[in-house]
Order: sequence, then C-alpha cells, then structure tokens
Amino acid sequence: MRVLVYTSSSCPYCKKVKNFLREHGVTFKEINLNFHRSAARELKEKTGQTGVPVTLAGNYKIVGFDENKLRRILRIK
Amino acid sequence: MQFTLKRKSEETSSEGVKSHFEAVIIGAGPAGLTAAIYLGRSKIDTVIFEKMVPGGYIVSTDWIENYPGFPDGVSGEELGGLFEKQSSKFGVRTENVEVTGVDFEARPMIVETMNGSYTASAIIVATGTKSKKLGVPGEDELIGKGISLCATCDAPFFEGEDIVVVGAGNSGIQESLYLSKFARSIRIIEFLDHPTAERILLDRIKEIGKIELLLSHRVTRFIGDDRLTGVEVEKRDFNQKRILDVKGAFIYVGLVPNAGFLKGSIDMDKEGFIETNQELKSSKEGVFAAGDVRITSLRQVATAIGDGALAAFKVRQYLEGR
Repeated sequence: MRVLVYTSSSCPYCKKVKNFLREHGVTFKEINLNFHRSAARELKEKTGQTGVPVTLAGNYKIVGFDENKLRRILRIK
Repeated sequence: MQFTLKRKSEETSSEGVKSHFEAVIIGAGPAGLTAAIYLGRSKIDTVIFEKMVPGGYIVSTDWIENYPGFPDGVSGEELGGLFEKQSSKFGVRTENVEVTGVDFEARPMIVETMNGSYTASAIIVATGTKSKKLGVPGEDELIGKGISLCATCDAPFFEGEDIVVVGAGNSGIQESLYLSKFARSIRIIEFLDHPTAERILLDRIKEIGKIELLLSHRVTRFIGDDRLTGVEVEKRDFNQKRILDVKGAFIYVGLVPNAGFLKGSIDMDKEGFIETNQELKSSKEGVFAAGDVRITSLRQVATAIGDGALAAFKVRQYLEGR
C-alpha cells in the first residue's frame, strides 16, 4: 500500500506520525508543505483538510496522529 | 549512562532492566529539559517521559527573540532541539511515551505510562500547556477545516487567502507576522480595547500593512459546513454583529495546562494549573512542578528555564535529605 504523509516543518504531530511509521518499518513518502507549497492547495481541494499531518494510505485518509487508525489501516500489531 | 526501559513486570526477567528512577521528569519542554541538565550533572538517576516531541510547546513557535543568547532570534524547533541535545549529553534519556496516571501517595511513587509502570523517589511535573479554544459554536467541527491552533504547522494552506487571528497577545501578533508571508489579509480580533503584545511586535504589524487590528471585538461563532467560510464577530458594548468572509482562523487566546491526568492527586487552581510554593514544591511530598504548568504570572521560555533549574536543585536537596 502506498503511504503518503503530508507534513510541515515545525508540526509536532507530524513528527509523531513519522516516528511511529519508522518504528514500525512502514515505508512512506513525505510531502513537506513548507517546500511544496502547491501541495497544500491540492490537499485542501482533495480532502478539505487545512491541517497537517494527513496520511493517505491507499483509499484511506488519516488526519492527525491517530495511532489506532494507523495501526488498523496499515495492519501494524 | 546506559539502560533499557522495560515494563515493570519484566524487571526480574531481564538483566539491565530499569523500572525505578531517583527522579522522573514528566514533560520535555524547556523546564523539564533544564531540570534534566541539572539532575544529569548531579548524577541523579533520571528519566524524562514526553508524550509528544522533545522541546515542548515552543517547537511550533515560529521565532523566539526574547530568549537571551540568541541576538538574532532562534526558531522554536531549533531551540527545543538544542535543549534536548544538552540534556542527553548529561545522561538523561527522553522516552517518547505518555504518562497516563500517577500514585503520589505510594513510596516510592508510581508513574503509569503507556509502556508500563515505573517508580520514582522524586517527580518533577513539567508538562506545560496547550492552546486554549474559544468554546464558541462551530469551532470543534471546523478545526482542521479552516480553523487552526498552530500557524507554523498549517500556514501553507492559506496562501493568498483572507484570514483572522483571534487574540492580540504576544503569540497572536508573532504568529500573525509569520502568517503574513502566506495570507492575503489578516484581521486580528481582540476582546480587550488594546493589544497586550510587546510594542516591538505591534510596530512590525504596522510596517507590513496587510494586518488590521479589530479591538473590542469577540468571535461569537464560526460559519461553514465542511469548510470555514466566515467568522461572526460582535463589537463589545454595542451588540453589533457582522460576518467576516474568511477562509482561515488561527486562535491564540491563552493556554490551558496539560495536567488533566493529575486531577485529584495534587492541588490545582480551578483552571488546572498546579499550586506550588516558592521552592516549587507541590502539595504532595516529593512532587515538584516547573514551567508553564504551575501557577505563575509569566509563561515564557526564560521563566521555564529558571523553574527547571530550581526544581532540579530542590529535588537534589530532597533526595539528599531523606
């Protein structure tokens, strides 16, 4: 499953999500909105979200650091 | 210092397992990390439990100019990272785990975390604060859909948009300056008839031009179904309501303590800030509080640093005097 994590540089919950995915060996692509400013508009149009982190995994969207949802969707024990 | 943190239940089964510490610090913000530096240098066996990321609330602060030693200013993220680097240099490790409960009556005291139970002879609570919400209709539903509590996190979503910032204290003004790099226009809504931010910050918003102060106004509701489309504001005394057409709102109206897990186990004021004496002792023996989470008249990095140093000194005296 392709995992995309939208982040910004000084967002603490973004670091939580990235640390969690790394700890559990999940490969993901990070899109930092501070360096990809057009991605913010795309994400807003696609999901309605105006906050990070947002994790897109397959057809699923996980907003914020939601450990239970991350575990369930990414099948992490 | 080398050790491995494991669940208490594993204590007897694994060599090198550690579940008791002379001192436990809850929270790795400026106060907690400063206490760790002092305790580490005193060779007091200490661990920090932090549920988010080291650095605390400041990591999401764009720029800090009133902390001495950085004449050109420093980002909150960088400063938090430096604090952690310095504390780990003296042997205090930061564990990324949430504390879920405490028993301050037991001896040694018990700290429950998501990873298991630990015991401690002394505890410093340095859990800091988080942003206060306004508590008006529409707010909870639209957080993340136009409303944000963190400008440095979410500013890129508001490129070219008209937005509001609620609160004209230091945080509101400082973050408005950051947001002005993205937004088309910013209106800062302040309930008081004057801004409370430092003069130097207020001078800067005048220079930028696209920031307007709406004094003596309060937000009465946020409007929008799945996205924020407007903010209803009311002018104090006149009961005049009007709607500002904006796509974004950032809230900086104060702080609430991160101390809910301590409710009932320690004396607090009605807002949940911890009561301490001048030596930072709480109502429970062996428990100290430092930084923004305690009752104090100023919450700044500089004051948290002083608190962390004093709390560590008092912990050391307490441990030596037992």
